[in-house]
Amino acid sequence: MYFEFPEAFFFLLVLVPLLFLLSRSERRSKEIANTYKSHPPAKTFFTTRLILIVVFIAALITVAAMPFVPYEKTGSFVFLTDVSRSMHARHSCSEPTLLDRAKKVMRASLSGVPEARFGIFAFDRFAFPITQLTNDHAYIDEVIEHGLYVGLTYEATRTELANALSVVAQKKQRLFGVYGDVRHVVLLSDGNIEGDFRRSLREPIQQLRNAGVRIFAVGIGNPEATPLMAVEAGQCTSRNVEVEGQKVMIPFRADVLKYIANETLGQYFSEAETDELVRALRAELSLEADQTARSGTPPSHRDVSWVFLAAATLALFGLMILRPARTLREIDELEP
Amino acid sequence: MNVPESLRLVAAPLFLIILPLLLVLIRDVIGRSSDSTIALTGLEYLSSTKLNLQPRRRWYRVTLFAVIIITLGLLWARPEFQSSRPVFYADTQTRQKSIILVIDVSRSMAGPLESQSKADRLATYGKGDAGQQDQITRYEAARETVYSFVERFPTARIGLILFSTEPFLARWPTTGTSNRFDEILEENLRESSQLRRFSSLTNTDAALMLAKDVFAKHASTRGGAIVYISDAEDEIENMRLAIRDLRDEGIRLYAVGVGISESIVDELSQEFADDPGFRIFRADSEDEMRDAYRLVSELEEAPRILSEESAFVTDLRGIIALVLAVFSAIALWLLETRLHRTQVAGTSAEGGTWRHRVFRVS
Repeated sequence: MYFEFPEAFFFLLVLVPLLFLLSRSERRSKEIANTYKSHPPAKTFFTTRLILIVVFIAALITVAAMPFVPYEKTGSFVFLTDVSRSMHARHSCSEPTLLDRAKKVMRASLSGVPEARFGIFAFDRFAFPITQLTNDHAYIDEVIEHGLYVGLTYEATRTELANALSVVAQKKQRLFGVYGDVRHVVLLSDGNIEGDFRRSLREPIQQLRNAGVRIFAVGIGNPEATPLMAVEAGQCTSRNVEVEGQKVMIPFRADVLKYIANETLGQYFSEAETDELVRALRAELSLEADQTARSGTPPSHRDVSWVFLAAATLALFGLMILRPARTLREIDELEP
Repeated sequence: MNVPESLRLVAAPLFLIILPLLLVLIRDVIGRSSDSTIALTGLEYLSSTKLNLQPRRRWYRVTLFAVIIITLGLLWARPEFQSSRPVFYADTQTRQKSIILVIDVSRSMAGPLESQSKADRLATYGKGDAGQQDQITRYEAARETVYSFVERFPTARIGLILFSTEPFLARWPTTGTSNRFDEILEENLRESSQLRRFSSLTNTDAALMLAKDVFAKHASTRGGAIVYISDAEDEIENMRLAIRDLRDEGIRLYAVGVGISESIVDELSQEFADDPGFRIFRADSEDEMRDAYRLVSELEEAPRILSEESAFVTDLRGIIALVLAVFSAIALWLLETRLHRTQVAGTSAEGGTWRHRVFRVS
């Protein structure tokens, strides 16, 4: 355990006069009891009270020292999120879009693996890293909320999945100091690509293998094809997008995503299996302490003040309900 | 606008944790009627025949405990204090100076920085790497400026917008700039990179409007600055409108025109001469680019701007816990001396039992 403000422990000195006072108090209580020809509280009362007071004061001072525990394990994961236009698909304006659903999975992953570093790559026609790898989950959350949207780059009409996978592999190799620890990429997409996907994905999958990157693919979509609702001035309209009089329907290509996951020795998850995804990510956390030095970001840690605050609260509660008098049975036993 | 000083409870519902403690305290006050409170003056009391009931002492006790309990509840509720200046060294800076770097990545930016005439630049359009491998390009000069900014403002929240035909929000404003945006800026306009494919025409006002939108969505931002680096000079009307729009929102704009004509610089400089929130620089060489960067940095380091756009949050738990520890020690001293109470019990001569809470007074 570490402390942000260890100087606070100097205040433990207040316990010295307090201990003296408590022993004096014990004598006084006995004097008063004798005066009344009563029986002084039992020795255990004074001992318990002493312990509770010491726990209360010491716990408060520990809270003041701001204790924290660094996470033992860590990991670096990249979200590769599809922001092509098909991710705007939904059956009605009251439904979340596919991208909204992908964001939900991302947020669940962040909260499920608080000790890990995350980064986001967004892809459509292009694929760019839109965040650094960071432990600052509040920042990643902010980016998910405001900085990840369909149309991030110009002409988001195509899903270049092969390019996206290739970019990730290349970034890891070119920027090993930044992405060297990334061994798992969470791909969130509807898998909606055209043509012979096995052929187009062959090379990027090989690049990923060479770079030692596995894909955890999360399929975002509905079993049936989903219509694309027209968006005007940022607002969903009840109108479907049509091309040549035909509704644009977005098919869900789980087969493409499963293929990528299998070929990169990763795993495939449906949206409903977010807990499984979190478990899989947690299973990949490692004890590599030098990751922090490599990534240049401070390690994550947990604030454990609440443990000491709980101890102080319980000690105070104990102090308040602690009764000094002996039970009547005890008195009866003492007074023949 | 300075940050208003304010106090807030991050986890206010946790304050209710003290309820059981308060119930015990209330029970203590209105407890068993058979208990009576008797003030003693040690042995001197025994010489007195008059019982000196002092209920006030009970209330002193209750008050001390109530203060301790309520303060403990405050600790659970995680109070924070926000101000424009740090109160303690461990304060967290929650709002930093925000700068968005808006970099033109259109094809012409692949041309050499030190091209003197517009004709030269037009000649290089679309041929970024033809015979210019040894010269620094405008894009590379702009990238160096980004690196310089990141290093000069290590605590600032810096965002990055790359723009060509449309703008691309390459980095939501962040304080995590230790990699100097290399994740994205490592790409070069000279090669067959994605950035090269993204690169096309120039859409200045769309880029500036995206920057404005980012500031608008950025909850912790007040004001902020945009550093715009481009070689576009045909967008002056759009740019003029965009500048006015940004200034209306209190956003400062520093435009670094790479190789743009002096007439445009003069025109815009004169038009916004009275506005300290807008500056335009012309940079035709690495030295001029460095000068522009230095001037913008100095302007942004003005104490007024730093204090207006910074916010610090002090986690008050530490200080409150210390105060409570000391207060509790003093309260215990009082409870054991001036408000000392013990409870005595026994069997009366008539066979009944009696129980008293006995206060001792000095």
